[in-house]
Amino acid sequence: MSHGYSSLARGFRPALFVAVVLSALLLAGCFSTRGPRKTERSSSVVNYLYPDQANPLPPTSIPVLRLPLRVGIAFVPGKSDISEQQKTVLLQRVAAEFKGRDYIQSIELVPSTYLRAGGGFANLNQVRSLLGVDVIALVAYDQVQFTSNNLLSLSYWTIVGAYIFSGNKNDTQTLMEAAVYDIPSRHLLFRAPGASRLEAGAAAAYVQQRLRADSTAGFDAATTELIANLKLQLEAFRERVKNAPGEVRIEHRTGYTGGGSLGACFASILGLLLLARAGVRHRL
Amino acid sequence: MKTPPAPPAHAQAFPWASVSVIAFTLGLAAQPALASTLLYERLALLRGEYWRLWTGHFVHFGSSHLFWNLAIFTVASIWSERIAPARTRLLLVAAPGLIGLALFGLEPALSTYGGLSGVATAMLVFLCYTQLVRLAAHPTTNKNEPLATSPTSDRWFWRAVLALVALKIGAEFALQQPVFTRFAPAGIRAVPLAHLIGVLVATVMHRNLRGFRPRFWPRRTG
Repeated sequence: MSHGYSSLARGFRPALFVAVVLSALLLAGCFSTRGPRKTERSSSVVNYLYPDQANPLPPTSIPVLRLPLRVGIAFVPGKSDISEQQKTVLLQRVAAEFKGRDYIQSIELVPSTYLRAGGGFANLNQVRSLLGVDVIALVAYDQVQFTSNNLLSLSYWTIVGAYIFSGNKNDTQTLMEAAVYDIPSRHLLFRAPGASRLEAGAAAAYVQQRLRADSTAGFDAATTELIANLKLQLEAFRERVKNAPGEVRIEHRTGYTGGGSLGACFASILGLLLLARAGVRHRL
Repeated sequence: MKTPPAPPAHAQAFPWASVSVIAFTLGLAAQPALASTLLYERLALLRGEYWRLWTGHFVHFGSSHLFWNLAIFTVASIWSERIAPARTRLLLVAAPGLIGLALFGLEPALSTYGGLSGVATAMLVFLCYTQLVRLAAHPTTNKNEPLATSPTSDRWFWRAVLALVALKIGAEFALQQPVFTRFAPAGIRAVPLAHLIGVLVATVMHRNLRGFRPRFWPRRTG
């Protein structure tokens, strides 16, 4: 027994043992097996419009909408912001759906640089003067991403497994909301939400890449729902204005948009006259 | 020794001014971002952006609006520039500004305006006047030189075109809606005043500049 023990003790190399344990710990650190991680991006209409106000006073004047409307659309400044390019693409999608309506004269995409955090209605009035908009749609968002490990994450110990097996599970939940305000009267005219939820697996080496893609896809899906809901809310608002005219006053602008046009029929008649002229000349 | 006959006027004048205007209009259609800077906007004009009086005509509210305006303008302007180059070029420079200025003074409710039709109407009417004067100067039919002088029977054609323009403008004023045309974007109204001013500008230019020729303009010989 003592011989066996002594041979085992002789074969034990403390330095090698420490190296193996450290390598294992480092590998485990690289391909983390910690509990679920959470990433959050959010902005809030309330924080933007009423900073440091626990009980904001409700507006007292009746909103007056002068048709056709000049509308602005902007993302509310938030923490862990999304990129300006991504915002522009999303806002362009929303704006494209509402252009061409006879009661909307123009839709201006308001860049983020025009809005400051907690700017409130003072900031909106500046935007109104700069861009000539009367009504603004403020888009806020709240996106939360969770990453947790599943059983396949055990394969990360083999290093190669961290590139092959989807041991991480990503869950992306996005909520967007558009609140449409009449700037002069500070009235909320209507609001509409849009939400999405995406689940996807990823190998440890590609988790960040996958999370970014899920974030973009989440905003895209939530915007699609937001547009559909905005259309419904807009129609509901129009009905409300018709049925309760005291709630919102509608006026028509004195100016109008005019176009000089000759048109297809006029051109066709001219073309026929030219043909007749050619026929007469041919006969002479 | 026999002097060779002078080449006809249409062969001498390349319509570069008309081609430039057409290219400018198409360029603006390809770059819609420029429209907000160049469109006729009353508020912007009051702020001092006077170039809009001239450039607003070249901005259009859709492909159909652009196509038909440009189709008529192209035919009328190129034809006119080939037979009366100096006056046509002067008209091309002056007409957009004069129409814009008149709209600004006479139609204060017009907040935004775009479209080449006022200028196209001016070119069309100017072409009719020029052709009718040419026909009056050369009353005989010459089949051997059909492009040098038109047959006298063409008078009915140019008079019919003038009548058609007058009918369109009159009907638009009477009905308060566009005749022969429809705008793709909703909420845009026709402005017959632009067409009427186009006719007036063409008439004034034709009556007062019949012998117009800049000093540097080369004289034809023969």
